[in-house]
Amino acid sequence: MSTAEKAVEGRRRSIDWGKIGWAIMLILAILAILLPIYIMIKTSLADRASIVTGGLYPEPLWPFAPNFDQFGVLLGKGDFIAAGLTSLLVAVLSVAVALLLGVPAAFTLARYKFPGIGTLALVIIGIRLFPDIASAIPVAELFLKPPLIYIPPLIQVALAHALLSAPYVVYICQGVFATIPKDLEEQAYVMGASRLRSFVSVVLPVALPGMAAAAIYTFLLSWNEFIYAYYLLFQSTETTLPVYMLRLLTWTPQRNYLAALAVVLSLPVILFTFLVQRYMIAGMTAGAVK
Amino acid sequence: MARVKFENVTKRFGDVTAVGNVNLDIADGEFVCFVGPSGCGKTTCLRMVAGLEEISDGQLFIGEKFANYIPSKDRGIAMVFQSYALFPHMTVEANVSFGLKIKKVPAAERREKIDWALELVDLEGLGDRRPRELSGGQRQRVALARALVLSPEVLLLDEPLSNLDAKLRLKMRTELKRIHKTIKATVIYVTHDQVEAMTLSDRIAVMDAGKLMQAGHPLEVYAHPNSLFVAGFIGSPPINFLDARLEERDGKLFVVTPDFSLGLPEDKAATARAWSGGPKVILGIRPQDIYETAHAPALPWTDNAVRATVDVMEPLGDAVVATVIAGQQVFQVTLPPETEAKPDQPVDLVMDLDHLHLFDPQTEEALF
Repeated sequence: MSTAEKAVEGRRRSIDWGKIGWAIMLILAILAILLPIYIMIKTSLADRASIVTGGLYPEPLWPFAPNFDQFGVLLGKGDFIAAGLTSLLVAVLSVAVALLLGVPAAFTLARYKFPGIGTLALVIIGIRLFPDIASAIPVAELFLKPPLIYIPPLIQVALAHALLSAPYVVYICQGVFATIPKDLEEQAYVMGASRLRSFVSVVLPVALPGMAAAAIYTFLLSWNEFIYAYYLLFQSTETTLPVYMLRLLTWTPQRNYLAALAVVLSLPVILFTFLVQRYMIAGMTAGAVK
Repeated sequence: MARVKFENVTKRFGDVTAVGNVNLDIADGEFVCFVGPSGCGKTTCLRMVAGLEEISDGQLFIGEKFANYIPSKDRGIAMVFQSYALFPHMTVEANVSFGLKIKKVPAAERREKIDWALELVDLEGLGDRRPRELSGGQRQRVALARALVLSPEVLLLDEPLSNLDAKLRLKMRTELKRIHKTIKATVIYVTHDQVEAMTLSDRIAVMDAGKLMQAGHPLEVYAHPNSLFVAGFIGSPPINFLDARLEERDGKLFVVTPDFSLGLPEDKAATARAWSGGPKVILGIRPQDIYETAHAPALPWTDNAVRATVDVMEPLGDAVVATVIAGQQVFQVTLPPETEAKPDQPVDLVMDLDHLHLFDPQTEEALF
């Protein structure tokens, strides 16, 4: 049979195996993503009977008596609040450092040409190819020796986070600066503005949305980051939220308590992302389309 | 106001010579248009005056000062970019006052100057708008106001009208001429539109491939182009070029094509005889200098008649551009709107030999 005839035959049989295959994979993927979240939420709302079954009955799909008790306990704990504030502080600090380092670098990469600039850009972005776990120990070692050891631990964490996110900041901001026409700076220059003034008064305001996207990414990375924070805060009493969660696990608390903590940890991120996703997408595409 | 002088100015980008040996003396308050096809170097010349490009060779003088190394802000210039380069996050007023703020002009004086500039370009009352809330024409006028407010000695305009629709372009052309009369600054204007250049400038500077081909009063360049390129670039519809040869017949010099001959008037014949090249020559005659015998003004020559067949006719309203064929020769003629010529019909033409041009096929220079 010719291809056309085969196609007609297929349509007559009206079973599109290709589409069914895709649909199955899609459903599996959605399940794989949503299932843990579902379990997390349901466990956080669970009463004791729903999680401690003793093997006598299967765990219910939804708790028998869902309640917010665990959340109450969590939010009443002083060290949880402290960890939350510490995470916030570190995140804000890391955004500041990452932008301070990354934005001028991105501007230079976007505007100047000198031999080796392409390689330089690749090296900067290539830093992110290195797995965090592998680099955690060398980086921690650096911070545990003079002179860096004299930096307060929280600032060390902020610096480490900035190190992780700076390449992304450079990448995104370089794209943003590349889309800003040189005309604007040339016009400012002809009018007598110094390079710095032209950058601050003319370029930065226009680049703000893209930079916001980079800042948001840095914030979220720092908020969620575990490995560097763990190694650098090893000997410190201060913790960030992910590390706090780990320390909690050492004395095996109840699952519903842990789940509540996980929900509280994720909620700001999810909320924040929903609110700013417009800017993130805009920022990313600003970098991509030239 | 200041004069601008190019002395052997050259600009090289690596191996490419974008501008080669330009010599031009622009007088105080003169309106000069640099015109030419894309890539001819006209914008590069403008940018060198602005201080945005380094001059590879030669000297540039602004006012009486040697300006090659003077930074842009000290040159007394203001520039309007083709894209307008309006600062998108600032209001119209903030845009216009940007340069004044950098020069630390006091607030009261700034206010005065801004009001004057906005009035001059007809944008009063729009000071609080942002560029994205303005039309194309309004944006262009903001860019102009921003330049004028600095009271520059030399105003540089890079294709300022090319982003506007045809009607607006015509209106702004008149506006620019009016503004030039008011501010009396020296203006250097870059465009690829020769009609714009002809109508706006005191002098036109025609460029091709980095070289300044000819500079002069528009009518002078139109009537007496010095090269094939200038003759072909200036004038709409464009000049007709035909391959021909010079032939002596009974003491009179003829320009001969395979299909017709034209007898040169004595003064032109003398120049042609004195020329060392030939006999091959390129004949140039503008469509406006060819007439239908029936509608021709009294012309003092014989040996200037051509019989041709009309191919296509394009009515313009005030004239008709007819493409005619005479044997192997195809050329264009502007006919009056009341002409009785019709496509595929023969038409009798006479050529105005006073406005005939001959060009050397090798050097492409004009004999006359």
